[in-house]
Amino acid sequence: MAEKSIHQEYQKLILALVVILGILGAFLVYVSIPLLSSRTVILATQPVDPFDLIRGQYITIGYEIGSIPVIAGAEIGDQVYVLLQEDSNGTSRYQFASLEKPSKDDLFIRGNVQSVYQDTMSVEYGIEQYFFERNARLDARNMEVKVKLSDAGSARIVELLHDGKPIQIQYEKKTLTS
Amino acid sequence: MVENEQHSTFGAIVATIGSILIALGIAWLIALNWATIPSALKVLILVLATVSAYTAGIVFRVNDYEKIGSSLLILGALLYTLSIFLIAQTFHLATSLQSNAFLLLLAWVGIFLASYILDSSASLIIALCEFLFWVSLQYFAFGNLFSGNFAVGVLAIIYLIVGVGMYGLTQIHKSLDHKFSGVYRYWTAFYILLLTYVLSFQILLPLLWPQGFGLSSNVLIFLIFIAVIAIVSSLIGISLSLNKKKLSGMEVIGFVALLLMYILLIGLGSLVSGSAGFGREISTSLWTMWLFDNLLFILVILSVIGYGTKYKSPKIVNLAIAFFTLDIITRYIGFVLDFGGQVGFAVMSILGGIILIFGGWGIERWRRRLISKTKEKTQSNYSIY
Repeated sequence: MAEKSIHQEYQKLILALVVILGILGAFLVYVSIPLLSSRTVILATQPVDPFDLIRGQYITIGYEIGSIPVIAGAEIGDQVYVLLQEDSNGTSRYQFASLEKPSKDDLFIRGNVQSVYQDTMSVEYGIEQYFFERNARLDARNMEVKVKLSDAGSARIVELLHDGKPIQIQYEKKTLTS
Repeated sequence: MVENEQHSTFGAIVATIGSILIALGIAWLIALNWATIPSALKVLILVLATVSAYTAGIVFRVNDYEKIGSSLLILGALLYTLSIFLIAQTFHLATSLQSNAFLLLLAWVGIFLASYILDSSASLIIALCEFLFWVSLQYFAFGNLFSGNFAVGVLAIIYLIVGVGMYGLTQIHKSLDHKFSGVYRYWTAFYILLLTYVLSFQILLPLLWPQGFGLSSNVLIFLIFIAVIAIVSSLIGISLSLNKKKLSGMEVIGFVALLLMYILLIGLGSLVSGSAGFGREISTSLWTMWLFDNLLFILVILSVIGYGTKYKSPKIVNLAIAFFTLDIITRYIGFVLDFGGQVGFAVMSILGGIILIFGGWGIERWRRRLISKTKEKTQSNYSIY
């Protein structure tokens, strides 16, 4: 291949890597935004059978605020803002919900309506899964979840808590034959 | 000279196997300690692997190892996709349909752009494979697949729209003498065959427009968005190709006629609107439509073979044959289900087995004859690479 052409090939490679790494970088920033926020809340989870929790490499977490009283006019797929109020134990609980975005001073989390049934609706906040490696063991009873919230109300999981302390995930030691 | 080429190819294969073994060894060591590796380091490992694969691909290419270079660019594209999913896992993003559709969107757009920058057909094929998954998943997400508000008809329309878009891109690239025209031609044929295959299922016809189905605003906007892109690209492509005399008026008329027929066919699905279920009574209208769709499927397969032969593309001919084989297997399973019962199953198994053995032999003979005929005409200028 001619030298000029080789030079062009490497220029193209640099450009392609800039595009690909740019998208990866932008995605990393997007998913990190809530974690850069100083707003941290602890959310209560609904009691679930820990034996049914593990689905492959993640657990599905059901939140107390996952099922809330229905808002007039709310439909499946709508964005809702759930205002939270901290109780005496430091756990943030449902105060009320709105289709309008609350002011920045309020403590709120943003979710999507998944279903509406009679006077309750189920809402997902994008934090219903917690990933870990295979062969992990953890005690999911009385679990709470520490979550960071961005100004827009989007949430990211920081860690799982049990009685206010981080849950220790035990991994089975792998061997060359495992 | 030939001997030298053979040696260099053999050496390249050995070197590739060696590099794959090294990569596997490193991957195995990483996998053993994966749980204890910090998340940031995991992401860094995959990003470095992606960059290395792309760089190695170009290094091989500039050294005239085109095929190995292409393989490494494919590896780079796949590692880039994995990086996106690993980042999502690291940040515990939801596993919802919309979340996965968003990740696939990032993946195919990145690979698509890289394939144009690097002028890599292999990379474009990966992007278009991911696009197929994305466009389907995005509809499932918008249409709330699990809430029951789902119509196969919309999915069929989406595949039709994408097929039109692919045809437009084929014509744009053909008018520019760009090598990607072969890739887009292959995918045009793929979407038309896929759409007709979807329509050939008796159980899916009542679900084209199920009773009580309502088009949500999300789905409508999505449909309009992709339709505008597809129509604009096909209009531009057709006019460019016609101006440069690279497209015949007859082919355009055939394309428009095919398009109108599919729109009519998908629309007529509302006449057999119902719900899914095996072993139900089949109405005359449903049976007629199913028979028509299956005859159409055979005609489309034959047309695609003609299309592949016209453009001297053995890969398109192979694709049509693959769908024909898929059709035989699918209908056979369908007949076994319809003629239920143990005796019926045994008779259908024996008959089907005999048909498949002789059919398989016949199809293979047919395929070889078509391929050799296609190659005889001229050396392939148009291929998917």
